[in-house]
Amino acid sequence: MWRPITAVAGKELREIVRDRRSLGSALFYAAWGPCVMAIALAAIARNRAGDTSLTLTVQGHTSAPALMSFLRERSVTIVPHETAAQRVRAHERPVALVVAADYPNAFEQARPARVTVVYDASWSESGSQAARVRTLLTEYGRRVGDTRLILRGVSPAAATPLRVDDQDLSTSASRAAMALATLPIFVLLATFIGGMGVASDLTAGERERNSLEALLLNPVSRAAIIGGKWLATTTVALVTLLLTLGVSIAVLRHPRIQSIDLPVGLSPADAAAMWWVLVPLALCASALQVLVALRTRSYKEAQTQLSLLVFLPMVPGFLFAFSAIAQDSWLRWLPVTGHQLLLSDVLRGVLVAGADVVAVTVATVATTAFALWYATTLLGRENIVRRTGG
Amino acid sequence: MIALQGIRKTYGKTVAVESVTFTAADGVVTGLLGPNGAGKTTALRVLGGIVRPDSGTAHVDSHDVQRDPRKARALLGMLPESVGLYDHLTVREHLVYAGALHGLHGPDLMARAKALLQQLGLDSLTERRAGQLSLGQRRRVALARTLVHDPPNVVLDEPTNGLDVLSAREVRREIRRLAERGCAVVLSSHVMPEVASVCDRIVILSKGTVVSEGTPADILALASAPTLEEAFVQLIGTDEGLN
Repeated sequence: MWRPITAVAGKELREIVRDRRSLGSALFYAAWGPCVMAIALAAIARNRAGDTSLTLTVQGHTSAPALMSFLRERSVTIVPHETAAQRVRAHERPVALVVAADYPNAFEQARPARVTVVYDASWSESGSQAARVRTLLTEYGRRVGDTRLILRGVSPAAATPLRVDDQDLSTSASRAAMALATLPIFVLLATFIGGMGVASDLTAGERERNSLEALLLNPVSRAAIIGGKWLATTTVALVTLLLTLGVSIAVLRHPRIQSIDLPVGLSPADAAAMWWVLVPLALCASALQVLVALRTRSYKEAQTQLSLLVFLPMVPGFLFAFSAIAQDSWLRWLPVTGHQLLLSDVLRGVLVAGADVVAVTVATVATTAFALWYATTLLGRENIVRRTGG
Repeated sequence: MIALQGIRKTYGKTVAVESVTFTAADGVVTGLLGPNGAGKTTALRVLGGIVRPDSGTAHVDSHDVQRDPRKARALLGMLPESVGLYDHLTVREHLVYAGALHGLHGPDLMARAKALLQQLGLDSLTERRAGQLSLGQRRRVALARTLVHDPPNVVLDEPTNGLDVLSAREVRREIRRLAERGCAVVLSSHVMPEVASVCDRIVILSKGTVVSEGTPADILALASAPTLEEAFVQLIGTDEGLN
């Protein structure tokens, strides 16, 4: 039984390795997922300085010396410029402040003195910095207003029936954790995407090239043929998974990412734990892909249906993200959802319950066995070979 | 020996073959002759265990193809109409793969592959990938793959389809060599000169049934025709589907 399985798997793997374009597509994903995460983390690292300091281009700063002093006290670096708005328009600065020419007179006469915050709402960095400037200006205005009321013998509290304070507790680390939460999804996807092209080529592709009939004429069981193709698909899926984890470790160890005080990390030991957790899922995904591809009529249809199958591991991620479903214990026993929750546990350093691992593994192996049995049955059907000839 | 007994196969309401019975004896080349759509490929797929007949039996030596498919296939070398090679495998790797699926391995398999490649004039192409071969070369590689386990029974479906004159000639020579070595050979074709020059016996299929069977001389006599092509046209009642 094993000899034909290894013969089929060996031949398939040899072909996969030689078909560099297909192999390249499969392995491209391994780098793509973690790189997307790296870009998000790098952006957070870049903005990290913004947590404490802000550089503000100001037009007409000499008209509002007290305001400038207030801003400097709040760690704002003032950069005087006579055409501040143009600098924002040219994307040279994310935000600017324009002090109106009549500011001193209005201020002196206790009339509303006009300042304009210039920003570009389509530029996310500009929007967030403008919000900070606006908060500081509101605080300054309230302080000046309170002083004026006190000088007139009125308690500022009487003019402020409601006082709303914002308290943003987010830090660069917690924002990074949000980006890092995508890692389990990328890793889960690797088990499905890695073998996708291979599965369609080894089944629907084989039929389309008319080599399936010649294969079925050999004195080997249908189960051995399916076993060999499944083994080859699983091997590519596991290699893709391994590379995804490897690239993820490399990304998270980059000095720029390390500058963020990440609340969670991915050590080689964590990656190894994740790999072992996902081995049964890779076996299951490959079996499902072989089955789905075998049921299709053409290579093109196989690729379409397998692309839809890739959405399967994304569904629980979205549902968890939007809290559409509670992370109940029974979800820990299902393939995909159970694996995603286990991965999150590993990533957060939570002790993984042995019973959960056993339950999800049993369910996954059972699904794999069913898919392989069904695929073997399909291969035994005579319409699996396209009808030709007389 | 290859034997089909009362084979009937339908696809929906279409009857592909009806009560097809014939025997291909050892050391004899049996031609399966018929126009397109006569049921030749269906009959051969029943033999290969790819298609399950509605009724009737197919045997390869003493093994029932349906009841004992793996043993029957082990004694059969079958070349389907479509060669179905793998573009990224070399000629040698095709033979090694087919041999491995027949349980062969090690030096014996290598020696057998080398001898076959030499025999079929493929020794200079051993390390060339199938994707780089001409149609004739691909068909010869497929034939070598069919014969790698030295089967005592050989079924060839249109083996010279698309081959140039010289390649077709070489394949026909190889078919005769197989029969001389004692193989039971079934050759499916609709090329009259080929059948006339290679086959010892002829089975003519038309519309899914056997309309005539015998030696080429028997067929000519039965139809009172000067050539096999004339005899064939008379026996099937039309020249539709002939090359």
